[in-house]
Amino acid sequence: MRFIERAIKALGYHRRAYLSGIVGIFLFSLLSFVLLTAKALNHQNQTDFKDRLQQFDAQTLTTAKHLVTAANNAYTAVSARYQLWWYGLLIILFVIAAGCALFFSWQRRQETAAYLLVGKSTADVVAQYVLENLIVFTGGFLLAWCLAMVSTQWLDHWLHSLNLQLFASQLDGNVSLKAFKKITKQLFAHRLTDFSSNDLMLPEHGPRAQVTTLVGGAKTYLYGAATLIISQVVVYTTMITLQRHRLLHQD
Amino acid sequence: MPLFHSHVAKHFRQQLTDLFTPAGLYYLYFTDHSALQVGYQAYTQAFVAANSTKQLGTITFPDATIVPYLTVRSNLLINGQHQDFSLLPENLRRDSLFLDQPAKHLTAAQSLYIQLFRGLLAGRQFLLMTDFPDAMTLQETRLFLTHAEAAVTHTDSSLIILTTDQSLITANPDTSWQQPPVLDPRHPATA
Repeated sequence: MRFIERAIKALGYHRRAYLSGIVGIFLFSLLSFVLLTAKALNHQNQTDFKDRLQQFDAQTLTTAKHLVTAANNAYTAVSARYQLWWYGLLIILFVIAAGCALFFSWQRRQETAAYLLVGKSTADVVAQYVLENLIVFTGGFLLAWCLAMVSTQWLDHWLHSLNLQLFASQLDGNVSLKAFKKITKQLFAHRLTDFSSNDLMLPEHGPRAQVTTLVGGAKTYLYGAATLIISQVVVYTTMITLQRHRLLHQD
Repeated sequence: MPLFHSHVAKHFRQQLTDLFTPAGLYYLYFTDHSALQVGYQAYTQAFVAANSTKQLGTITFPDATIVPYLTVRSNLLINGQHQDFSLLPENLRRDSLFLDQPAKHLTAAQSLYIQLFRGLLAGRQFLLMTDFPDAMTLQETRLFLTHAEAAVTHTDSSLIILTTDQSLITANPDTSWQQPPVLDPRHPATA
């Protein structure tokens, strides 16, 4: 109980630093939701594309094999890009969390010395500091989740445009406009479909079946918290061990 | 090796018992402040080397051992409570306003009391103190010594005061050292 009390009191005492921490975590969480939701949306688009292809017979599809492969590759490349950005985001979180822990170790050295001198173990002090950061992480995460939830409509529109743009840029490198027009002309010749040739790859116009659901909450929290904990445990343990060594062996 | 460590701790504990029992106040004289700091470091390091830190409480000023955002009560109980709260002087024990305020603005004397009773409440048998702050008046020092003597006697502990004040040594010839004894944490076989 006193351990929790210490962590909560420390949060209040270092509230300025932790408020900026909340802002940082808020931004991280928001970006993570955006990337994970965009990736899920891209996956959904790819599934819808495959469903639309079902409306053509096998023989017709053979003529468009090159286009279908290029489209599938473009969807995969967009997903890979989102995944890469998300990993990049985790690396940034790791580095910033480590930097903050390094700065805080220095800023809180007197407080750390107090704990060490009354007999608290390094693990005890590290656990308290990391718990404080985990509470801040949870706060920033919840704020970001609330904001993302109330902005779903806007987010859906924006992510759809982003996906469209990324998909188009990936596809452009593999299929020329001329080839695209030729293939789609062959595909749609004497075919009755519930979509036009413009909407084969990604429905650009008209109402979409459903608004994107925000995803990635659990993944953001678990991976973000794990990154934060690993980064801070390593830095705090190193710094506090060094401080303990200096306290015990100073001449 | 744990067995060897326990022998070292046992030997060290015997040294402490020989030097600083029965329970009470003990005074070690140092010629100046820097010699006192060296002596303090040597004593604390001896406790660490003998794996006996759980028996040691420290009282220092300016103190690095008060956590400013915790209440005075939380600072008192930071290492657990092995003694009854009635150990505290009545005026301190009943002053809830003081006990529940954050410990960031304590006076020199208040800080010493908190560190003393924190060590005693945690069941530490030997408390090491580095002299009295200049800010404390003679009357405050006497009052502290009176309370400290009653508390350490009650808990069967010893308060070892490292001081540059020759008058304290002269006034307590039976429990003071002009030349502070050396604590040797080594096992007799390796010493």
